[in-house]
Amino acid sequence: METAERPELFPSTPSSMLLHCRGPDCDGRRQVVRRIMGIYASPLAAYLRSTSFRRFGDPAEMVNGFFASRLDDDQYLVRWVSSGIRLRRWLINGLLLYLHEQVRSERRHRRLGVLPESLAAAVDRGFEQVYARSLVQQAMDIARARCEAEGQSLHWASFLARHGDAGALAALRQAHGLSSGQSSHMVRVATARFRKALVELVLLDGATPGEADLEIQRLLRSLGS
Amino acid sequence: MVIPEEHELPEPARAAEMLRAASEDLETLMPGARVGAFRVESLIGRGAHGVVFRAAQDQPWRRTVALKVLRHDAETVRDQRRFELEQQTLASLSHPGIAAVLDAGRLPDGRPWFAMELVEGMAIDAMVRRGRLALSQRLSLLSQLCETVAYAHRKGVIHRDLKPSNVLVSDDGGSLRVRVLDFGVARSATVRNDDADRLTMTGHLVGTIEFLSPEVAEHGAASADVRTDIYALGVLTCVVLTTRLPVELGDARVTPLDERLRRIRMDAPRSLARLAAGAEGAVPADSIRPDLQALVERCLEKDPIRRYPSAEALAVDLRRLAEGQSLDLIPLSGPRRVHRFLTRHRLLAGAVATVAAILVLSSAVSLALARSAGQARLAAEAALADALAAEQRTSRTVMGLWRAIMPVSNQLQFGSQRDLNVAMMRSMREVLSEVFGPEHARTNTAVREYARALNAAGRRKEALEVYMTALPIWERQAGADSPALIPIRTEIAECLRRAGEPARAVPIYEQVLTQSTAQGGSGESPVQAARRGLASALGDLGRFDEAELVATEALTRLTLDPPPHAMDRAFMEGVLASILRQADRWVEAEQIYRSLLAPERAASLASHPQSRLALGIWAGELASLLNDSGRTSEVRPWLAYGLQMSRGEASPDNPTMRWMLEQAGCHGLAPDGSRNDMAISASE
Repeated sequence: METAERPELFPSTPSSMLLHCRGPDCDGRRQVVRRIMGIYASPLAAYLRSTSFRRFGDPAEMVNGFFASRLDDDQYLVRWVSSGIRLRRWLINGLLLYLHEQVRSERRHRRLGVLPESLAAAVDRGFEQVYARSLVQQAMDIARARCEAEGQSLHWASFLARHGDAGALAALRQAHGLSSGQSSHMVRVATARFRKALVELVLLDGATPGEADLEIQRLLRSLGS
Repeated sequence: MVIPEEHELPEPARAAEMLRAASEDLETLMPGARVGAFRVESLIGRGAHGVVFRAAQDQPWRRTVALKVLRHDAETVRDQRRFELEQQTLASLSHPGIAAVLDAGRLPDGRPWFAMELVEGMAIDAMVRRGRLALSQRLSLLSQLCETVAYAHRKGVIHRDLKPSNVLVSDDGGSLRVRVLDFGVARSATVRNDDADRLTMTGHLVGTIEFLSPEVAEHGAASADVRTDIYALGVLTCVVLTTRLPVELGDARVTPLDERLRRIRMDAPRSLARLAAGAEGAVPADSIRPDLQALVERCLEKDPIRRYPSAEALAVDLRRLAEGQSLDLIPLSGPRRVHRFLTRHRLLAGAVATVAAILVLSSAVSLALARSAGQARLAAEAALADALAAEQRTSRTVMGLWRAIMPVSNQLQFGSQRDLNVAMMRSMREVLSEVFGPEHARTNTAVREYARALNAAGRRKEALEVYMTALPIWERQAGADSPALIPIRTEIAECLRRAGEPARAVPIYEQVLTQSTAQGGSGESPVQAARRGLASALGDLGRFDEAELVATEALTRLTLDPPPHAMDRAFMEGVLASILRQADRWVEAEQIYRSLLAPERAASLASHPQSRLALGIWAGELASLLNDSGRTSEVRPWLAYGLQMSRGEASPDNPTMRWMLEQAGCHGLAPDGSRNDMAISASE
């Protein structure tokens, strides 16, 4: 993830932005595309690894090929917005379709192409788990960048320490001469930034603001918690 | 940009920790946080929708309050609305027995909060246990409680979750004072389909199961009225006097919810003296007078009409008992409760006998049903004997018969004896109508089962007639927007679709889906059935694009909405495959059929008659598709499998079933899918 990215430009309502900001020159659109690739590439590759499509090549390369083929078309995401379904589902369907096209073009003389996976069996547990991990990673990157941009690196470090091992926060507090109240405040600020980033990413996937908390709970469940 | 590899992502446990941090840390207001004019002191507890804090106000008065804040993880707008309704309900009540609302507002993150009087006391059951209170003191507390509930009823509010933890007792200068808490699921007593109803009915059950009334256990929250609170007050009276529940529901960890609900509906309450005997903290068993027993029995009547008409009347009787006066109530022992319906209603005897005869017949013709039918027959014979004995036949006997025949009926719906099932259900409808009245809730259930039996037997027109006659009654009883009508409307639309009237079915399905969306439901099976039906009906009308959209959207929801229902998902995939087949998109259709019929998946689906039948139909549709593709050599195994799975269970008017039976002979198969050597040699 490039730290040079301007997080404040990242739209909180990507769907509406996409409808108004089309074309490869649109900065906001480029950010959205980058974000989508950052979040979804790993889960999609993990998904392919668990299917019989893995026979057709390296999953990461197939996913890159899919992104290159689809995300260059600015209508692709506009169509997603109008579909009303979750982005991860849209991408899985799109990836399967893309792979079917690839397989068909290689076997065009056969009556029935080898179509190894059905549409309905698409979203599996493995995908959801890697998706959750990827989302957390992206949210952490965004929150860290925002904390750094505000001169709050120590806030972020406190947050990581608070949710790392029990002694880390106390050590950090001691090293920087922080009171318990100051330290708690820093953790809360960083937590709020992390949560905000997480919610933005969940909204990017197509959840409504009212569904964000529910979606986070669902991510937690997909991680086995 | 660099796309992270999977191994570079946080481990699942670490990612979960971070997600928990995002969802939990903001929920708890830190001590010292300012909320309006209040300063948070400590966390008191968390409820279904709110978190309650102890908070202090310094200006303009010094006082301690309870501050209730909408939970940070409140899932939906509905939760928020329910929270606000509780606030409105409390604000409309002003009574010494109810904590008053003092102030309200919103947190910076938008969550609503309200401050109310802080009630410090002990739950009423703990108080009587700890305080070893005398019978008269307990009755006096209960009388106070009933007066408070009566006040709420007069203000048009039904509590719906009366239980010991919501009734606190405090020592107020030497006298004990009762306060009622948590109006979180309360609703208006006068307006049936108000906001609260819509907000609380979706899950069907509202309240705490031990204190749930039989009508709510049977029909959901929609049926709650002031008499529902009276029932809960009866259970509370029982608990306060004996420390035990009147009906033994069983351990929640081992007793299924359905069984616990059945006990609430069907089991007679135990006598107070029996409950009190040997129970620690109970009043002495010999101190319980017959009129006190009668009072509790009247509260706990299964039929709401027979209960106390008001909490006020109950309060008066409790006060009189507390003061040592007697009541004009006589407890009814078992035999005296016998309804003499039979001597008054000869039709009943005939109907019960018909049901018994059908059960005997069904057990004779189907070995598979022998066990359950045998049990049912015994129950039926017992019912018949009771009926002939006249004095001993009770409404309980009829309901016992009803319970006994339902498992048999469910099996008959999928077998070859659907007409027997129709006859049995028709008789049961007559029995229940006779015993309970033509518009009683139990009769409604029997009418619906009769219509379902007709539908399952392919007698669509008759089924529609029954549904259409009953629907206005049910709409009047439950309200036209009641969620209880969602599955019924879905059944009606299904009946229309199968009767070859998809154009009439589509608006009904759409109404169901609009209604369920407005009421917040999405994952329930009736709603899934409506989506399946709508997709199929649109497909029948040739509107394939719309049909596919509905089916794929439903599949997406099934994938994303917890909990995942394997059967619902499989059925929806089956519908999608059927639509694609009709739209001549055979490759995609074949793909889905093969996924549905994959050995592991098929094995898990085959355990239920309905999905076993569906497997048979899908196999038949795949065989038909292969046949149409000219791949006739691949047809036979799927045809055999289809016939084998759907043997005798498919509806007679199912076109795929007809096609399979027509094709069986050509492929050397008997109608049950087995190898037919005669047919093979003939075809050869």
